[in-house]
Amino acid sequence: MEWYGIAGAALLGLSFYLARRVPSFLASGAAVVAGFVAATRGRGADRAPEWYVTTAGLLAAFAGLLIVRLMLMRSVSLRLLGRVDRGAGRGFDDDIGIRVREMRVFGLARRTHRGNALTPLGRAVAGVVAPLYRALRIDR
Amino acid sequence: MIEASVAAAAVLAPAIGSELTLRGRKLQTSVARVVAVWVVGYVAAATWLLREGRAGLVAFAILWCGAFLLWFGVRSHIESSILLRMLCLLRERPMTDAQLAAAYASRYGESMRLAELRRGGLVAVDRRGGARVTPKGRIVLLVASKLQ
Repeated sequence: MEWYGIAGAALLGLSFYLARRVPSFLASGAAVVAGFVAATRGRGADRAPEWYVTTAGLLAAFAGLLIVRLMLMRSVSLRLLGRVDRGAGRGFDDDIGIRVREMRVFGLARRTHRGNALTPLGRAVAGVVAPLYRALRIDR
Repeated sequence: MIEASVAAAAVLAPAIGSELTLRGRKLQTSVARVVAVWVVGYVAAATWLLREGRAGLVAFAILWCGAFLLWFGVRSHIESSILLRMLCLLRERPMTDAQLAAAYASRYGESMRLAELRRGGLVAVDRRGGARVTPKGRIVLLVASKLQ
């Protein structure tokens, strides 16, 4: 099982490097985790804890790499750093404008006569995030 | 089952320890310290597994790597996501596009982001007040360009 786990982790890393778009990384990463599960499931009840730990690790790595892939594509700070390096002009406001539109596209906000208002989904997400900001002391 | 419990503790403890280390600071300003906290957690758990003669060192290493990546991704996203900040701003009251953009810019705008990059040692300001990317910042840009 160890070698399957190592191979799974290595393949996840390779998928992250090669699959530069989110859908392709989603597909390849899911295939790697599913492949590990299919190849190792039921290999001795005495090794069940090890199997659960390895599977949880691969799933966590997959989810973490997915978020990192999204951040690499969308990070405003990274783009700002690049603009400083190139000595390029401002583009920050454009990034902000895109996010405002995305809130509606993702169904987190909707237009009303008073402006953008949160949808129930948006309220739920904000209801989770706001306490997290306080708990992690980010919003100081 | 004991191995699984030790593994769970060994990823939960560094996650909590990282927050205590960060104390509200941005992750990009303290990456080395956070990695050190996680490495300590790994070494402690791995040492226990070896001393007790328990199997599962590879499984634990995979879990540890996965947990670190997940924590890193979630923490970075929560602290820097514009979309999530805007959702919290809209909790206060409905706003037009322009009002929302202005409210965001006034609290978390470009100057704040530049200040964060400076605190992280990625950008420096020269004598004339101009910003320039530091060698550390160039490494970040290089790595990002290879992965994008």
